[in-house]
Amino acid sequence: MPLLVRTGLAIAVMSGVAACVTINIYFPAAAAEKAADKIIDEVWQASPPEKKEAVPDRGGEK
Amino acid sequence: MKALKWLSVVLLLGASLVLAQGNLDVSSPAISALKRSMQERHAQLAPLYDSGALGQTTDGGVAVRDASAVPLAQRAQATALVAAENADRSALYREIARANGHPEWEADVRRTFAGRWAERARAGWWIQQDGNWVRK
Amino acid sequence: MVPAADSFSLSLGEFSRPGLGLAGLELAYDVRNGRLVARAGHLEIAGQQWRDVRLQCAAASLQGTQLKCSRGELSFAEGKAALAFSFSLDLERQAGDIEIALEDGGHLKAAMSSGGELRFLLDNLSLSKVSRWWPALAAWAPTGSMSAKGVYRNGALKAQGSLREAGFSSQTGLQAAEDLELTFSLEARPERQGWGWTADLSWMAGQAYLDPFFIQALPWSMNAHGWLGADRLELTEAVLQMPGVAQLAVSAVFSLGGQRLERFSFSLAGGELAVLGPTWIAPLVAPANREAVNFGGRLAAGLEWADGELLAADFVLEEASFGMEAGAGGEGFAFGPVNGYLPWRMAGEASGELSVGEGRWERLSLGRFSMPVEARDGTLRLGRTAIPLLDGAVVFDDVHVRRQAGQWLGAGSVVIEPLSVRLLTEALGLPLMNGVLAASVPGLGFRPGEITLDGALVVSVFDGYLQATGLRILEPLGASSRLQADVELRHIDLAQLTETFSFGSVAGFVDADITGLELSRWRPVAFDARLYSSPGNYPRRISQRAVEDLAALGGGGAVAAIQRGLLGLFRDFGYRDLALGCVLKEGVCSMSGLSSRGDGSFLIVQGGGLPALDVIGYNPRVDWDELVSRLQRVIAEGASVVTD
Repeated sequence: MPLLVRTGLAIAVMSGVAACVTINIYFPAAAAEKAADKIIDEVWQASPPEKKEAVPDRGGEK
Repeated sequence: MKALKWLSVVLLLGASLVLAQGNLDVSSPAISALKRSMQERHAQLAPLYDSGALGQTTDGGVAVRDASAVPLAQRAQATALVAAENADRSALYREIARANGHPEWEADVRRTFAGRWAERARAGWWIQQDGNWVRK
Repeated sequence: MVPAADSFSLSLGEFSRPGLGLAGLELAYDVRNGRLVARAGHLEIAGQQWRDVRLQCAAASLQGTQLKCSRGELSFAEGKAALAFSFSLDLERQAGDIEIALEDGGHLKAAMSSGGELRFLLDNLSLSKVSRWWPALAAWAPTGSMSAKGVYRNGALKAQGSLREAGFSSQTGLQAAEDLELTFSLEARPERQGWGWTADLSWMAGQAYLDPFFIQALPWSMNAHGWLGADRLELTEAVLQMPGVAQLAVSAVFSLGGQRLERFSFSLAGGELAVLGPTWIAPLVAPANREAVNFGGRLAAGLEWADGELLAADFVLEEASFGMEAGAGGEGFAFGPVNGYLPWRMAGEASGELSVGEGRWERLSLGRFSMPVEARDGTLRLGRTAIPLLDGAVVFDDVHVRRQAGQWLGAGSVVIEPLSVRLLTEALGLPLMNGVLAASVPGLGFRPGEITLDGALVVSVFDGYLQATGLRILEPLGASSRLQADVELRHIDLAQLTETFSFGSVAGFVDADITGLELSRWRPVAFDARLYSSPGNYPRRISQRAVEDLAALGGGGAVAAIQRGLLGLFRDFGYRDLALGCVLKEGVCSMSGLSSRGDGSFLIVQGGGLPALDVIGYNPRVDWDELVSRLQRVIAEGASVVTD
């Protein structure tokens, strides 16, 4: 494998990892909504109400 | 070939990292204790939600909307329930942020919950939107 | 007949008095049709405004100097009042009568005499109907009825009256009253571009909820005087008589335009806490457990409040006592008698001291102590306070508390002067232990949801010591209240330990490290603990009973089967090393020992010397509650064996 390609790959991988890390320091909004729903169900001891699908995923907001 | 192997390892690692971080841990003993406390209180709160005396606020708490149906002598009890519920909810948001090692997430957790309490409120319950009470 | 007299109209311009304004005043009289219309483009009374106010008289007549009107009607832009009125006026003598029939059968009669004296009688005015033509009152949904009579003479007004079965409610119902029976008398005369007034008020029956206070008429009475301006209502002083209070005076300033309290202050003398506490203090300090709080003694207090902020407060306590009965929240507490002075200043400074004769916190008795207090510019500073506890003391020093962005923050230091563990365990009903407990926490800090104790707590017990550091109390007042710490135990004498807890008998010493210990309601919910033989040379023996107890802890089968036969033959055994680890998480204790044996079992005690035997744990994952109940059973059985 030519050096250039390998370097390119390495950079891609690095940036990929870096990207992951950047995402990770943000608040996981989608997971939080799921967790909230679970807790709310337990506290209100409710079966999920008949409803239109949950609000759009806000994961990309941040 | 070797590079590919490394790449896959790194990708896997990255993926697992994302997975680990993309979740929110809500299993700490403190969170369980708060859930229990709120569950127990809910039996008293539910009729007040039903009657419209209380509603879900925009900041993830509950508030008195119209307590005039509650006898005067018992109104203090209703407001005490509100205060206790709000204390538990605030603690819950704090604990979730804490349990995930990010105390600074408290406000985000609160905002998320505010949306979900409102969304999951039963038909007939009141929720606050832009400072106004709206019946679901 | 002059045609010009067929109709006439009059434009009166403006008229203004403090708290009263009329603009665009017009009067039109159509003689032929007998129609009289009085119109005001703008009317303002005590901050409330009406536009296009019309008084219409369908049947008016002018005979000589007598102007008469019947079947009158009042209307305005904001709505219409269903008032039927009639009047007759002698225009020359400037005297006459007005009668207004109100809805619900009430009526208002007024008589004006030529000397400029006006007498009026208001009978059975329905307050719920008033809000139809007084929009500001509508938000308060008044109910009940009012009757009054009075006279206006030489610019001064005198009136007296009563309210029957009256009530009101704010939109949220957090400010409301019901079944009110009130009588009042009022005098007002012009003063400084406004009205100076005095009023007497008696509240005989009914109840009110003014969040968070529920107040019942006991009964109360009030003498007040003040001033009413165009935009301000001043309560210069109100003196209240009510049960449980020797003297209570209040003053306040209310902005009529802004509808808000600008300034409020009160001073109280000779307040009986047993009467005042349940109504005025319990809802503030323990809203959910109002009935569980009890009060005694006397209180004098002063308070000054302006623009939403507490500027100054002073409390003088005399033989006061406070307590919370045992209940869901624990075993309760009690303090008293408390004497002294406690000040608070948003600006400036003041100092005082509280002395507490005796106290009880849960099962612990606290001795007499005094607490110097200094208030300065919004910060409360507590000087050195030594609270005697058992044979030692808990000493707080330089604790300062301040309110910031609506939250209480504080810092200081606390020291526990050595106290006997024997007395402590005795007081708490624990198995008796000997030793000394002391703590030094130079960095005590608290903020909402968290108390940090930066320092160390040291307990010398069982010939060794226990040291707790990194102490934190999270959510001290909440459902998830818990204590966190890292604990280090060194050189604990197993002989004393096992004797204390009736756990067979083991000779030797152990060390232990417990990190991430979390106690919720004094029960561990998380930790990572490891206990192991202390380094050094000392006799290491383990009794047959201790082995059996250990085995019972492990749920049976904890001794290697081959060696089981040995157990019955000897009273004790030698061991070379012992270790036990437990990571508690989510109710499960994951155990480990000296070494793992591959099949999931682990070595807890490694035999050595003669006779020797190994103790092996077979179940590395144990339910924590189950483990605790086993331990309690073992200890209880052991205790009964000892008494044999």
